[in-house]
Amino acid sequence: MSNMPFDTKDMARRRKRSIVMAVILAVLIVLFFAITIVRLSGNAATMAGS
Amino acid sequence: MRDIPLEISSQNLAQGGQGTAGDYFALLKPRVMSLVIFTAIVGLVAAPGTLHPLLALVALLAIAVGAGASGALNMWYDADIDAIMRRTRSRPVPRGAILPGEALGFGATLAAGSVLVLGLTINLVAAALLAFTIFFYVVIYTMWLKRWTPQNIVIGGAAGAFPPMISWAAVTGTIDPGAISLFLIIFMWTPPHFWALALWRETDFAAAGVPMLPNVAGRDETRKQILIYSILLVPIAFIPALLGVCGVVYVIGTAILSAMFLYYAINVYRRRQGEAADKACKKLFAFSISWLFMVFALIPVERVIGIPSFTSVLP
Repeated sequence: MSNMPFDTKDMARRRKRSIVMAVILAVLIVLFFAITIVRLSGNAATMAGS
Repeated sequence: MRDIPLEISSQNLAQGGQGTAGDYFALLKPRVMSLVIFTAIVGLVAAPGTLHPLLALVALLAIAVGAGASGALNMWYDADIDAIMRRTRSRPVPRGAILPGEALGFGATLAAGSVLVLGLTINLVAAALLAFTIFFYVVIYTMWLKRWTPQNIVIGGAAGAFPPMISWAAVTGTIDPGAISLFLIIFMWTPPHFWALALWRETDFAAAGVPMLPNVAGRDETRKQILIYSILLVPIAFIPALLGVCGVVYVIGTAILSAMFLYYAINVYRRRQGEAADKACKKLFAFSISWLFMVFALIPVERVIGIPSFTSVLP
């Protein structure tokens, strides 16, 4: 039995999965930033109104 | 700490972490998720008030991910019976692509994340409803009712009926009668829809030991129950109109579609032997999906073309 727990095919599969994960995380970062801006501008508009 | 032989530990490591991104996506039950997204969009549109488009998108995303998390947790718990049934044996966990523990971790993380995001970005009522929906589907339906009672789908179907209510609450922050009326439509639609499938997949469920109505109460009783629920569904489908959620186009469209639904349900009740019986079940199952889609689609269509609410045009 090989000392390597993952063969080349496994590693390629894991690499692809990691790339998908990185893209999802990047999208979430952008999304949370945008949400923060929207919520802050909403609060600012409310405060200006009062 | 105990020593773990190198061969065993490396073998276990090699068995885990084999799932592709596609396998993990399949864990989310994308077809169920698409129906959840659609009904949630209708809830967003039907609710009185407005929500910033980005926040609406985040609400939909959280609801979709919450539904997907429920699917992953369901596949973790049901891996044993999924491996027996023809319809489900190619799912990632019974196929061995993803370990049950991985499915559990994935589902639990997404469940917690979706509720947290909905609570922090939208409101607590919507988040609480989403959390309850996930709990209901995983614990009440999957862990308890599914293997215990042939009425599993009647009560468990509520989990699939919550999404429009959650999105409605995302807009208003409350649980209104209009939202409950949308919930009731899906709740009452689920039994005839699912029993039509169960009638022609009866042997599958029986082999897995899942007490579906056809293999416990019999096929004739199931046909009777399908007809009863279909008849009850018709007046319930008009409640949103009576509450002013939708207009006359919805009323006319729903009347025509419900008449067709009843026609297919009567066919299932009458045709009890041979290929004609199976065909009638398949037709009802397929049409029930179209029925829900079209009835719910009438609400945003009315909003787009500016149809006034049914109650406002009544004398």
